[in-house]
Amino acid sequence: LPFTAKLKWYMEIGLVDTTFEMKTKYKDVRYSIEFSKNGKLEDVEHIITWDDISRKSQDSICEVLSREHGKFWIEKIQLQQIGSNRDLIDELNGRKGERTITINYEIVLKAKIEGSFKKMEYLFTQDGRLVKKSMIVLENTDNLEY
Amino acid sequence: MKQIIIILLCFFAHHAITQTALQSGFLPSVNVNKKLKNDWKANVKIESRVGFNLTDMAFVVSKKVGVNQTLAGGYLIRASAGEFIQRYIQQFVITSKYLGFRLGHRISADQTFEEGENPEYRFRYRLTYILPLNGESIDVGESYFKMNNEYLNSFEGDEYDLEIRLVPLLGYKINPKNKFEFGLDYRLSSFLNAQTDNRFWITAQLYVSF
Repeated sequence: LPFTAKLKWYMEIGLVDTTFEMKTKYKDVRYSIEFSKNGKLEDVEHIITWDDISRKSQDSICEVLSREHGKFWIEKIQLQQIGSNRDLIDELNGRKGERTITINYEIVLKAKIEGSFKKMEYLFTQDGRLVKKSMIVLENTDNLEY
Repeated sequence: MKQIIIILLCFFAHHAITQTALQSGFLPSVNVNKKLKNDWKANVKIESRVGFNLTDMAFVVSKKVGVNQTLAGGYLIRASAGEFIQRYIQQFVITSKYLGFRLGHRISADQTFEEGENPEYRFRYRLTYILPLNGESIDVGESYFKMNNEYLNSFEGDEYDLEIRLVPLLGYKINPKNKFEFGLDYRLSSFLNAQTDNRFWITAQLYVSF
């Protein structure tokens, strides 16, 4: 892998599975690479902006999100790449050649849901179709407020 | 992290030695939070100054005005030997999460009333920094470093004073609802107009939410 900046490793213990996540910065972009418990490269994500998404996909995503929430505020967008280890590594290294990589957009947003402010995570396909959505559990901030 | 703690201890020790007006003691507190409907929350805080026969009890109600913004108002009573103090509190808090740490900005105002004294009006700003010592967020059974730095502008009659607080703490998340923090609470005041007043507390605080 081409990374030269500091690599930060995290273990994510979920309800169903445990994964490992490596975070780093490459060419001023934040990357996050997820591995399964037995070391398989699951996906590569990096932060992008709204303008990096095609106009057609933007319209499709906006339509879904407006229908779900009315008013919402996008906090973070990540481009997610899924493929074989070889294809993902070649892509990261900028090597030429054919490969099969699925691209999704992971969007974290804030919205008011049933009278309370919440954070949601949405996953869209490259052409803006909704794959899944989940609510993010907000950390307790009592000890920042009082 | 060790270096930061050593530097802070040296800073406090230096002040304790070189300044004359020094007060110190133990400052335990319990902070109970109850989540209510529609982003409302109630908070009760009881804090004692052990050895000074002084106890504060504050009741604050807050409402989220954004995912990371909270507006709050409350009332505090202080009971100590021979005196009774009332205080009204208003505060606005913004919290933000960064990669590996959290920040909290608290802007607040309070008005204190005591019989036979001029009312005291304070305008405060507090910056809180929380650094998980394991990973990116604080999970159950994990520790964290916390630092509060607060500036209090106080107006009482014709007098103005600035108090600066520096509070480095080590915290531990006992379970999803409870956190315990232990550390130092250094308060520096009266350095603008009179002999500097140093107050140096050992603090222990328990946060309970339900």
